[in-house]
Amino acid sequence: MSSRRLRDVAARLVPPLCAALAMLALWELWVRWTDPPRFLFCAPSEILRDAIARAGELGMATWKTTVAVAWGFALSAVVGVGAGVILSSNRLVERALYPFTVILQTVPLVAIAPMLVIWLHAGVQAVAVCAFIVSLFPVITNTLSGIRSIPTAQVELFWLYGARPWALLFKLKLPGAVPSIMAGLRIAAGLAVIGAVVGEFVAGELGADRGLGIVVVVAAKQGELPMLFAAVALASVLGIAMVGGVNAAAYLLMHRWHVSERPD
Amino acid sequence: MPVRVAGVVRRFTSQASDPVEVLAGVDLEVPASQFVALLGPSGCGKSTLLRLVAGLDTPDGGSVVVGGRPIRRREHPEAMAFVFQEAHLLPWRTLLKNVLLPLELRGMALGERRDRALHMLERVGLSDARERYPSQLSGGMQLRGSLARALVTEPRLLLLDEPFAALDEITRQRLDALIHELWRERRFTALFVTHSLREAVFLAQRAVMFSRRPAHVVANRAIDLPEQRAAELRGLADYNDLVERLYQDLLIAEGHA
Repeated sequence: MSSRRLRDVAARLVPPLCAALAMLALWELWVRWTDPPRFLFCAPSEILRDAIARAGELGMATWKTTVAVAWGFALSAVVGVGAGVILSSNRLVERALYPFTVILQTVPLVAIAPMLVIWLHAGVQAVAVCAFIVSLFPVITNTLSGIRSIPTAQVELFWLYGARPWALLFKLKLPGAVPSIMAGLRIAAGLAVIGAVVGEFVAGELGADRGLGIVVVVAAKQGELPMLFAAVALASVLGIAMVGGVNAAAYLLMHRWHVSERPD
Repeated sequence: MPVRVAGVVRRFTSQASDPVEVLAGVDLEVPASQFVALLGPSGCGKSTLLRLVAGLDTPDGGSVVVGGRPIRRREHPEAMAFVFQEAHLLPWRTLLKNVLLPLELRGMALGERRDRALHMLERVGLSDARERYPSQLSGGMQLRGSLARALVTEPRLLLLDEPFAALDEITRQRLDALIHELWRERRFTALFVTHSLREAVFLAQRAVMFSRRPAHVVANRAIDLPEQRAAELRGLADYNDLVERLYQDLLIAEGHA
């Protein structure tokens, strides 16, 4: 990495890290001054202490949730882009099927998770499917609108040169829709984490193989506030890492040609 | 490649109103290798006619025959290329890869298509910009790129739909000179839709004036100027005379005379 790139990265990372440190410091000071009852509130230092003491357990839980999130997100990327392509192929297909994709957006996850437990048993598969269901819709709808937004003249240009349908798809529609698809995946990345954690509440495995969602439920029941905070913080970090991964992919695919990825 | 348009009618229907007749029996005969300018009031249907010739649309009546073959929608004439109003280069491809695209879609071997594309880029003066992306090119460069993309297939019929309307005068004159040079070199048949009477006289051997909608041909005028056109032409009395005559045709087309 060149020193210029290093400086760019630093310029992006330093401001949010400073803001986070400042907020944590204020929080710590506030807890020490007001000394609230520990079943209501705790300080960042206490969270850190408990998290270090039970690092093995938290690390394992984070890993389990990460696996479910990764599967769910990968599935929604592949299925979502595929569904978007199919819906875009024909107005009749779109009219017939698009309304059903809205169900994905509106059906409450906690209501279908029990069904997933019946079909798949509690565990990483059921949780991954939860992450998948919750994150699918933005990928479908953004892929569809990305393909629909390709200028007619460009499509006609491909017709004029006798392009086969696969050439139209791989050389025009998909590359043209990449900015939209990336916007959809960015939303999906965060949603997949939410879907997995909420999915674990109902469909997560207990015991040694538990994920962050179960850690949250158990800590809440036992009044272990620092552990609860630690699990939530790790879920947030996982979400940030997912979105960061999508951003990196978007940069690699688009920085040479698309306005959204151009340096300031 | 000769083009014959006979009695072509095209109506557009919309739910809001009665069908609008855009072309009302247009006849046009263009011999091979002729450069023809299509003129007329804006919105009169010149572009519609061009799209019918390209096989991007179907006439409601009459026939379009290109190189002896009747043309309908999605039956594009072979050896034809189309230059749109905007360059429409694909933004995720470098200039070179944009020029390669038509050859790629037609399945030409990689080595050969690269040579052809590089040569074509040199011909339009963009060799140095070949690795740049369209967003890094000026409007004039983008249009030169789209011209290179059209000509790289060595078409025998070139359709141009007001390609330079958005450019400044100097850039436009340079591109007109470039098109003229390329036409003299390759002798493709050209149908050139434009609003500029001067551009039409500079480039064309024949200028066809259309009336307001529904369009029919009001004047079909030979441009009798030396075959080789250069910037000095614009000062000649004959040139200015022809522009003036086309202006009179345009007034008739608009219904003002």
